[in-house]
Formats: sequence, structure tokens, C-alpha cells
Amino acid sequence: MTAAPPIPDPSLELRAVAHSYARTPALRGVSLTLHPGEVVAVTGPSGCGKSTLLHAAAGLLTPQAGSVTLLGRDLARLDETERAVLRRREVGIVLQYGQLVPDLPLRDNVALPLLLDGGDLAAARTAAHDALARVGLADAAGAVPQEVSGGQAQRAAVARALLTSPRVLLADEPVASLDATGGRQVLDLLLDVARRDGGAVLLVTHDNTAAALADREVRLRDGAVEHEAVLR
Amino acid sequence: MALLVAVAVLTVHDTVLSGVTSYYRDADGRQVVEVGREPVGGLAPFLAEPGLRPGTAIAAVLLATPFLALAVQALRVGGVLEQRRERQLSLAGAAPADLRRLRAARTAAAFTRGGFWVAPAYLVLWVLLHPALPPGARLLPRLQAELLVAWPVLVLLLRWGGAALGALTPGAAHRRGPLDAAPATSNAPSRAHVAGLLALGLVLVAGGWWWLPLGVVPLAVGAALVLLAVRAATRRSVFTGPRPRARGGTAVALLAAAQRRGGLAAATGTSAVLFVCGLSFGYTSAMAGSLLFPPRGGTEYDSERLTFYLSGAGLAAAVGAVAAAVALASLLLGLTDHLAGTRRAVASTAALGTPLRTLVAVQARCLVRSAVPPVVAGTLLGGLPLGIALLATSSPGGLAPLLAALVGGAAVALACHLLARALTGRVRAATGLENLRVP
Ligand SMILES: Nc1ncnc2c1ncn2[C@@H]1O[C@H](COP(=O)(O)OP(=O)(O)OP(=O)(O)O)[C@@H](O)[C@H]1O
Ligand SMILES: [Mg+2]
Repeated sequence: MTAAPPIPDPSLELRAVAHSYARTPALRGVSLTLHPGEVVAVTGPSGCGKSTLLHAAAGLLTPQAGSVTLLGRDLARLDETERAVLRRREVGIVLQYGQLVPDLPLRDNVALPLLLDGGDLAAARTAAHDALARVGLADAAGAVPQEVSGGQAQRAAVARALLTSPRVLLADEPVASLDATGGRQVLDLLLDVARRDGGAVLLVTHDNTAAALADREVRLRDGAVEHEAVLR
Repeated sequence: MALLVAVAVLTVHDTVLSGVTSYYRDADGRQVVEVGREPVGGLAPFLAEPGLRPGTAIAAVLLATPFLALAVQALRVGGVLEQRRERQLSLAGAAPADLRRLRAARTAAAFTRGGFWVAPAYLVLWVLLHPALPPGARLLPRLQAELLVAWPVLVLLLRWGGAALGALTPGAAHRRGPLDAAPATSNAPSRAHVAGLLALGLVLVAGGWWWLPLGVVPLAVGAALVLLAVRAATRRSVFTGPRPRARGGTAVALLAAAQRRGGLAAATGTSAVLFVCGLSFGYTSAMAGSLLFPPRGGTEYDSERLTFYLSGAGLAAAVGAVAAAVALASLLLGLTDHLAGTRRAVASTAALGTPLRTLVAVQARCLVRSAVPPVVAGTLLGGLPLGIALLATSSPGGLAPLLAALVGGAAVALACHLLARALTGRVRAATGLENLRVP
């Protein structure tokens, strides 16, 4: 009798997470597990709590109930600085709304995670340049976020999230303002994090084609899991 | 902000005008300046003494200008947010006239609220500058019953003035179209700013000319202000240079430079006020230097006048204290304005994994960068003319402005760090995720 292959510790585990904003309950007890090398798509109608879920997973928001374990660490037990450092070193985040720092050239925006860790400016800029080139933005490296299109800004955010080779990638509508070809290119880069590098990817999207590329789909409705499907 | 305007106006009125009128009343009698006797008006004794008249007038102007500069800065607070909001309203279909009406309604309300606070604020100022000072050195006259009538009138005037000001403020956001509101327009110092500098400079030049040879100081300062105004009109930004750049490749340096590029108008406002404070401070330090180490060969300096000079030193100290207080208020305004205008930048940087400590450091650096150079420059400019004259008589007091610039610069840098630290809560609030949803 042979032992079953060991199941790796999950990269991200949400247990019965609930959160309400002033008037609106946004999440009502959502549980979700994400393993290394796995891509999970979170889908659902607008306002169902997808972004809130991602923010809780990233430790950007402390949910009122439930627990979040990111890379083996209970986020509620980390202080603000520890969460920030964890995020910067191990997690790549693409947010739905303008996350690039205004008035800072794309190149420096992308280099920020390295610089914040005390990296050398020239080296960080070189790395940022490569990352921008991978998303097809080599020419826009010197532009500030206000000067680029929505899709370009989104690609720059993806470049930044990929820069540190994260073990967990959290992406909120990363291809929402991209055309089909550009969107597919960016999705491939994101999927590579799981398929090639063994990271875990949480992909929030309302795009069915994008969701179909995931290993699993979790559909939310009114802040609760409505449906969960294994796709491959 | 209306409060600041009103207090500035009241300060000017009571320090200068009441002093002048009582001077006329007492013009004949030298005994008025005798120490220990309650003088009629605030600054009357100093003005009654011909030798001190120019100095006192300069001191009064120096006392009042930081307040005025602060008031102008206060008027600009929130400008970045305001422009953004107006751009959106106009995208939503608001015509320029609608925006004007909205602005007028809002400023009128703000000015009225401020107007109500004028009397209590003046009372506090009066307590500090009348009963708290020795009889010979009081800077404000006794309280007069007319003030009670003046208050409601002032509130009304402020209300109208505020409405007019709101309606007249050029809506930079839609000179052509809502989306043409390029950051470039908000980065340039406003015309009012330049005109203010120019006017102040010309007044000082004219006054200095009138009082020559004593007026050499205001003459020099005024000329410098005129030059600055010209430079401002031609080179976009007076104090911060054409485009702030990061020195040193740290994340803090880059973020601070980006933030200052984004909020150049606000930063320029802070810088301008601090420059004026520096002028006051520098001149005061030179005066203090001349009192502590009187120029050799000065025949007039004898013990009988010593007490009199000491009152002068008190006045100088008051100018310094006012300048310091205004500088602090200006820094505070500057930081809160920064934070309000850059909420999204702060929130996005935090989301990326920047500890709060680093964000506070960015704010501190922004403040230091826009605060220390103008203070040092202002102090040197305000103090060196008199300082050099003192050094020419080989009085070591001439070094006072240098010392003041050094101490002032260090103190302001420290204040910036402490303020940023003290406002950590505000920085934390700016990191709120909901701020990512603001444009
Ligand atoms: N800061 C906030 N304050 C109050 N309510 C909020 C806040 N943020 C989100 N909400 C509410 O919480 C609910 C969930 O929001 P969330 O952004 O998570 O939805 P979503 O699924 O990401 O929607 P979309 O697909 O449109 O991005 C919504 O009803 C929204 O109105
Ligand atoms: Mg969302």
C-alpha cells in the first residue's frame, strides 16, 4: 500500500469570511482554498463582493468575521507592517482601480516593490523595463500614469505584480479594459505564474473566456458562493 | 480660511492704523514713550519716537504679512480636489455658470462660518498681545465697544466677499473643455500669487525708498520680491524650480518627488508663506543682533534708552513668534492639503505593500523639500542687508541672520518630521481602500 502524494499546504485559505460596509453586507461567510500551481477564477455579477474578497485575501482589508491564511500566516495575527512586507515580497496584486502612483513614470511605478525593499535604483529600473517590455510597454516606460490609456495602465500594473516573481498572484479584472489579443497576452503572463513557476493565482473576472482558462471557478452571488466548478 | 483673512485684516488694522492714529494724537509729547506709563494706542510709543518709527513700521508690516500670506495659502487649500470635482461635474453636464454658482454658495458659507469665529479669535490674540505683555510693550490697544458692532458687519461683509470671491475664482478646470484641464495649469503659480508678490515687493521698495537711508532693508527685500515675482511669471514655479526631481534613488525620494510634482500649486503656497516668515525671522534676528551687540561708535546708546530698546526686542520677539506660529500653521495646512489631494496615490502605494512608516516618511520629505529652502532663503534675504551693515561696523551681531537661518532651517525640518509623525492618523486614513475608487 503506497502513501498518497502529500497535499501541499494551501497558498491561500479563506474560512467563513464575512464583511459589511456601512450599509451593505459585501461578503457573508465565504470559504475558498487556493493551492500552489492552481488558478482559481472568481466570477459573479457586479457588486457581488469579488473585489472585497480579493482585498481580504491580500490583507488590505480585515474582515469582520472569519480568517484568512496567506502563505501559512494568519493575517489577523500580523501587524500592518508585516502584512505590507509580506504583500510586497511574496504577493503580486493587480487591483481593479487606478493603483499606479500618479506623477510617477511607469518605469518607477513598476520598480517600486524592489525600491521599497531597499533595492538599487539602476537595477530596479532595469528589471522594471524588462517587465514592461513583456507586457508590450517598453515605449511607454517614461510616461506617467495620467498620460497612458486605461489598457496601458492595466498592463503596467500587471508588469508590477509580476516583477517580484510572486508566490501568490491576486488579480482583480486584469483584462477588463484590454482587447482580445492584448487580453490573451496578459492572461498568458498571469497563468505562467501558476503553470510555469508553481505559484497560486486568484483571478477575479466577469469575462467567461478568461474564467474558462482557470482550473476552478468559484461563482459568487450576493456575497456568498453560489456555485463551484472544477474546470480541468 | 475666512477666519484667517479676517484675523489678518484685524491685525493689520489694529497694529498699524490704531498705532498711527494715536501717534497723531500724541505727536507733541515725548513723555509718552516713558516706560511704565500706559500708552494710549498699541504701538504708539514706538511710532512717536522718530528714530524708531521706520523700524516699528517695518516690524508691524513683518508682523502682518505672514498672516496675509497664510490667508492666501488657506484660500488655495483643496484646490486640487476642487478642480477634479469641477471637471467631473462639467463632464456630467454642468455649465460654467452652474459651477460658478456652486462655488459662490460654498465659499459664502465657509466665509460666514469663519466670520463667526473672528471675535473669539481676536479675543485670544488680544489676551496674548495686551494683558500678557508689560505695559510698555503692548501690541494691541484696549478693547473697544465698536468691535461688537463691527463683528456682525464683518460677518456680512465676509459672506458677500466670499460669494464674490467664489464666483470670480477662475474655473481653471474648464477654460477650454473639462478634459483640457491639464495638470500644467494647476502646476503654475496663480496670477493672484504673482500679483501678490509683485504688490508686496513694490510696496516695500517704495517704502524703503521713502525712508532711505534707514529703508535699505525693505528696499532690498522688496527688490528681491519683485525679482521673484518676475521669475514666477516666467518660469512656472517660484520656489520649487520648474520640476521637482528626486535626489537619491530611494523609494521615499521617488514617491516624494512624484507627490510634489502632482501638488506643485499647494507646495508653492506653503513655500511662499514660509519664505515670508523667513523674511520676518531674518530681519528680526538682525535687529536682535544689533540690540545685543550695538554697533560701535553709536552715541545714542545709553542706559536711559536701554529699557526702550528692550521693548523693541520684545516686539522683535513677537514678530519671530508670530512668524513661527504662522509657519507651523502653514506646514499643517500644506500637509493636510497634500494628503487630501493625493489620497489615491497614498492608497495605491499602501496596497502595493508600503508600510505606514514609509508613507509618513514620504510626507515628511515632501514637507521638508518644500519648506526648508524657502525658510533659509527668506531668513538670509531678510537679515543679511542689516547684518552686513552691522558687520561693516565690526559688530558681531551681524552674524545673527546666519545663525537664524541655520537654526530656523533645522527647526523647520524637525517640525516637518514631527508634524508628519503627528498626522500619522491622517496618513492612515488616506490609505483606505475606498480612496482607490476616487479618480
Ligand atoms: N467602501 C465601500 N463603502 C460602502 N460600500 C462598499 C464599499 N466598497 C464596496 N461596497 C459595496 O460592497 C458590495 C461589493 O462590492 P465589490 O467591489 O466587492 O463588488 P464586485 O463584485 O467587485 O463588483 P464589480 O464586478 O462591479 O467590480 C457592493 O454592493 C458595493 O456597493
Ligand atoms: Mg470589483
